[in-house]
Amino acid sequence: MIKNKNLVDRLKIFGVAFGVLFIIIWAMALILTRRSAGIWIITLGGVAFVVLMLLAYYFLWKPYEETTRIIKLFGARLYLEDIPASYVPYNEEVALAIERLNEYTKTFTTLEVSKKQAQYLVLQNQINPHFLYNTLESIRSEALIAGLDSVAQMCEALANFFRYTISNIENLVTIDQELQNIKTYFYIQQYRFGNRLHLVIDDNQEDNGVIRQCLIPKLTLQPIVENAIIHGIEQKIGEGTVTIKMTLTEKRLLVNVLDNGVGIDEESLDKINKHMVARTINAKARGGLAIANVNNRIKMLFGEEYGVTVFSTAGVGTDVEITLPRSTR
Amino acid sequence: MRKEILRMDHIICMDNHIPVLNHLGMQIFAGEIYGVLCLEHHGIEQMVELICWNRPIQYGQVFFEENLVNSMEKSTFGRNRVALIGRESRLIDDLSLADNLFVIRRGFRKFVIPRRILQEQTQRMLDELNIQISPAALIQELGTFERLVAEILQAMVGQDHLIILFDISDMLSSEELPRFHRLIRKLTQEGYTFLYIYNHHEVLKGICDRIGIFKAGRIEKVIANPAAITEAIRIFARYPYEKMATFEPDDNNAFAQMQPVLQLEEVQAEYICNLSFSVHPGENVLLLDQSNTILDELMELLGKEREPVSGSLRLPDAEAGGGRRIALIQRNPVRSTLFWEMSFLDNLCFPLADKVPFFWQKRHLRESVTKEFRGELGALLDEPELYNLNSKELYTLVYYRYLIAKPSLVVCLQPLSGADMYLRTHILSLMARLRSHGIAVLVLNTELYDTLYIADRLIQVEQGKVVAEHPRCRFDEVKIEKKDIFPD
Repeated sequence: MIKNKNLVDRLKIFGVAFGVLFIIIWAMALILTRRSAGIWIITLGGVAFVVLMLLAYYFLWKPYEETTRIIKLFGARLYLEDIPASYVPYNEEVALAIERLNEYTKTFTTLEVSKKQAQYLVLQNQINPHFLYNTLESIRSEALIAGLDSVAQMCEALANFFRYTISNIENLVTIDQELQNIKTYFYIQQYRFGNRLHLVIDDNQEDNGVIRQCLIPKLTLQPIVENAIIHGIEQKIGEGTVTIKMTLTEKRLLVNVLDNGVGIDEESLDKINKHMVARTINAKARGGLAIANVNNRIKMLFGEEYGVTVFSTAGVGTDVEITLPRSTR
Repeated sequence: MRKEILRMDHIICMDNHIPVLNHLGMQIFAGEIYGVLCLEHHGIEQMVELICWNRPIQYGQVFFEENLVNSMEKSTFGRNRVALIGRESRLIDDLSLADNLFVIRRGFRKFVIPRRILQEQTQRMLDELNIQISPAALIQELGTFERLVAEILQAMVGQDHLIILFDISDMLSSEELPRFHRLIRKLTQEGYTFLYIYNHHEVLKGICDRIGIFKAGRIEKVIANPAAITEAIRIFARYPYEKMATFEPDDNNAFAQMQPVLQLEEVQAEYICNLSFSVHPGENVLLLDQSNTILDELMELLGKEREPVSGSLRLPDAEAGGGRRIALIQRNPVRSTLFWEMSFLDNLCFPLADKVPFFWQKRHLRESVTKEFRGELGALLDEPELYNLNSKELYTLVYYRYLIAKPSLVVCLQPLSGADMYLRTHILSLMARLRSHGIAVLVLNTELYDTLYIADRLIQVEQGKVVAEHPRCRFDEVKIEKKDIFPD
């Protein structure tokens, strides 16, 4: 009925209704001049007028305001995930245009994601994984023969890191796998930083077993940890610690990556937050933009409810909180 | 597995097109006491309002018990199951405790009130918490501590899942505060969740499980180990702490030889019991009321609103024909003592008008005030009204009024109440300024935080009686002896 009509159609219906009401009032005025009992008809006419005004408010004005608000939101963001049920198009032409625009932006977003995925695959294909692993194994063997155990261990770690990073293109891995990769990455970094760098994984919890089996997009933690080391602890005088804490709720998995590095100043933090809000996809992720990219990936995979939040104070450190849905294989 | 009570994600909120919340993120789990340390007050009230009510936001999402209740796409304007306990009581003074808990809560539909049953239920709740209050007692008869307990009970009966404690710590004495903290800690073990908002880390450190640092409209950092806040605060609030270190007065006790400007001898009143002390010119005396019973009454005595039952309250300076007066600065003076439609200059000269006959007719006096303070106050002197001024400028106005009027004594009642870290520093600098102009300052307080920086003498009062008096040179010794009273 009227619910399925766009705003222009509704205007036409109300126009007709008001026209009829006007005729009734005119007729009543005629009657009134001849009969005093017309007061009841005038009262009924008044009530009908009020009812029509109320209907006009609920079926015309409110939907118009709501639609204007949705269009404003649409203008502020890349796309709307689902057009809300309360959306009432102005007319058929506008409805079609918005639908097309929405499809276009979704396609654009999907293209960007698949472009990145394609770049990733090209990279994988250019670096023949087997050649890489075999070479690293050869280096490892030579190092063992020469008695250089540390070099052998580093080669093994690097091979493991590359095996995880460039092999297997599945999107989701377990927390356990992701943490193993972080440990491998940290092991490699410690050859450069020595005792300056520490990693603490807080897994002294009752539900640690369940947490470890939860799913997380591959390579979610590694860019965050890399940021913590390069932009946080490396800039600091003295030792630094990266702590990874995980908390499970009924519906979510929360992963906190904390560092006691130099922190992020207010201006840079504002920029990071702006990138996260604007949902810009940047293939050349550097520094804080890596956080924004991780945020975008999570939102694209799981929805707006999930993502990344950054807390930081210059001189104290940075906390990056990653929120994911609680899901296991 | 932890149960999430509240989650706020990247909240952007505007008030008259001014951003008040800027990517605010916060998460509170069930059974925890989450502290929010306000380094800056801007935005904190809007944050509290947003937690209680789902008003429109420009960006972000609010989840309550893991359900989306507010987002930029849809604001329900609904109320969340949150209780707000602050300076303004939600209890009805003329009703009893039992009536406040059960009769006025949402969903109470009975026409006949079973008074006996309600009182029994109330008594049961009080017994479980080991609180001694009569269920039939009227709210107006209860003290501050009992009122706060009643509000917590009201939240429990109303099944509010999150209880916000907003700026309540300085309403309690140094004895009542630990009791209150023990109570809320006990309730967290039963699954109740608290959001404790205050502007001093010393209070939050002892009770909170985590502390979020609130600044510039967002939670800047979450301190998972509250004990570490003492060191961290020197970085977060570097400027205020460096500034406060400059306030330390000289150990010059020359004022002790001068005739006192205020002398109380064996003063007796309703809650005051043989109170005796004096204040000398240029001295800053901090009176710490450990039982939180006498401050309001003492202000009334000093303001001549009532007379003491016995004893004497003298102003030797005025009696000697000096003609100078006492100025009283109440709690939150910007709300109660300023005239918002009057200009800055007129507000500034208001106390002077009491002193100088026909002041308002003598325009040249106001011009000379303008000329004298132009260098310090600048364009503020030209403000036609006070609505556009920020908190710092308003407090400057409050204290500068007495710099001009030069009373012999300024009495400040809990001067730092409700002030964020930066504003506290500014207020302390204004009080130090008064002292440097030879005006005696008497600070009435229930806590020692920060006011100790500028005090020359500390008077400890308990149950209306002076129990100890310490000059500045003994502060370090006393800090070691009485660690529970003195902050770090």
